[in-house]
Amino acid sequence: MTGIELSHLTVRRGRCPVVDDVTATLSPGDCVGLVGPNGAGKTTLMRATLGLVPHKGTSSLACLPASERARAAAWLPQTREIAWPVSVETLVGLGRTPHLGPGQRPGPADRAAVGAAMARLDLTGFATRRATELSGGEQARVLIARALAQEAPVLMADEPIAGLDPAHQFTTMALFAGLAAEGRLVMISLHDLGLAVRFCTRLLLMHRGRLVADGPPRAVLSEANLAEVFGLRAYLADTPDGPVFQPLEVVR
Amino acid sequence: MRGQGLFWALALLVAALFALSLLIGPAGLSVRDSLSALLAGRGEAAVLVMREIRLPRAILAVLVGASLGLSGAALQGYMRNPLAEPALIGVSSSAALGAVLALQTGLASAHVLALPASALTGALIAVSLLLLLAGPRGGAFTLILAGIALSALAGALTQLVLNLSPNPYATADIVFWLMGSLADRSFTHVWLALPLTLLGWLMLAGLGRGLDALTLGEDAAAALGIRLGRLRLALVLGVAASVGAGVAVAGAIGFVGLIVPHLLRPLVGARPGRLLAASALGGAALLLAADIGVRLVLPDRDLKLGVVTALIGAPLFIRLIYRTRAEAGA
Repeated sequence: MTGIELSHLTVRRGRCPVVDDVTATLSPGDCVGLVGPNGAGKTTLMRATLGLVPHKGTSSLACLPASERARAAAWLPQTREIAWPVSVETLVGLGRTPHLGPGQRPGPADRAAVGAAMARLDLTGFATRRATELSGGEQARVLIARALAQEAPVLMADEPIAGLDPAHQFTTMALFAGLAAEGRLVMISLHDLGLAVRFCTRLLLMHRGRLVADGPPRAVLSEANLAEVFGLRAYLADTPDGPVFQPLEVVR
Repeated sequence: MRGQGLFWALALLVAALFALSLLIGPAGLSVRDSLSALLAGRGEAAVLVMREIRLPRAILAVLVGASLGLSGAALQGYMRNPLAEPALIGVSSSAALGAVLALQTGLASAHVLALPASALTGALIAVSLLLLLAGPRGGAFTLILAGIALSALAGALTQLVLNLSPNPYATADIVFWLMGSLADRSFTHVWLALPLTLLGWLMLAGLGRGLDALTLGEDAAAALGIRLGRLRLALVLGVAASVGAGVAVAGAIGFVGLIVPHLLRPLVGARPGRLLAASALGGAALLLAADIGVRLVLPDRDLKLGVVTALIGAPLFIRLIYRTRAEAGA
């Protein structure tokens, strides 16, 4: 089981549903972009999918015991918290937590996973640096490396490109698309619809807690959906350089 | 390995201070007499001094100091805040309240175990209230708030007891007890504190991996398979058992749980899990050293241990603030 099955997933805060009856099947190999305005329920949907918040309905990941789920799915929360000035290598090594039995020390397989994850994010020279002393963009890369070191078939990330410079946003999205192409299931929430159209193979569009559209990016970002959900009119076209998306005006 | 070296160095330091603590006291025994009394049982009075007074005192310093250091490191790791310490979750002040009530009502003089038992009851009630207040799913923040509320309440009730105390001698007793001390303790105190202390250590010692994962925040740690509810329960019960037992026999001793993890954090690469064992050893060493200091500086004035730890701790803390500021370039 390396995909995700969501069935009538609902999360209420008080009486108000924050995630309302979401049903979807996500399969390995897809780079799924979760889009929608602020407060649409993107973060809560992902946390409920992982079983981190009380919910109704079912998620195939949330049904697993905690340690097994941690080997099945890696999660990058939006807040990039690094509480202590530990070394970059130590921090990336935390991704191996679900693979270690009680009292077991990291072995060669763990060190190899940490090394590979750091190499993939260009962090090899950073191993002994204190993670808290790096720049925001470098910290974001360290935390992504931590998630990769987990070697889980599912990778879920909440706004992983927020706050990065344009080049890093681009390379990070390319990295996620590449991970999906290797056969993992990648699910990321993001606000940059241009990058979503370019790199995601599938978009889930959320509005007021409901999943209002689900499919190929070009179909999901239809004129009607953009107007209804985002209140935007936009230019969206296939060019020789790939799909291009540019908002033009606010329509409400 | 640097980490292993640190543990051995700290363990040696504790052993050396333990030995030194056995050799110091108002009886003025020579080193040879002390050792022959302790190990071979030679010299009646010396045996009594060594085995019934100095040995339990040194053992208690290790138990209480290690509990404070370990609890401080665990709490700082859980809260992800270097200012957390055992007093923060209200266990120390509630145990102190229990002890103060025993002193005030005269129970303490009725039986030697009445005071520690009353203090432990206070700690137990505090933990139950704390878990009730913080709720089943609350994070570190709700635990801090609940702890502050509880400490304030216990502190106010202690003040109330002092305020209404009709007997100035009882009041003086209470005030001195609150300062914390290891003087005139016996093996009765050791046997009372030992089981709960060891139980608390056992619960806290297993938290290393969870605390390491919490470096990434609560959500990420939970997604890494750490069961935060269970971790928090073990943390609170472990701190309550070990620190509660410590307060019951030695009074409230501050600053050790705050300063020791701080001092040792850079030496373990800031990893919360490795800090646990280091802080336990460091706490034992600091309290042994302070208790030796108490007997050396003013041997005939019964200087209180809690006063000395605060006097050592505060300047160290100020130095740390200064160093942190220098590192931040401010």
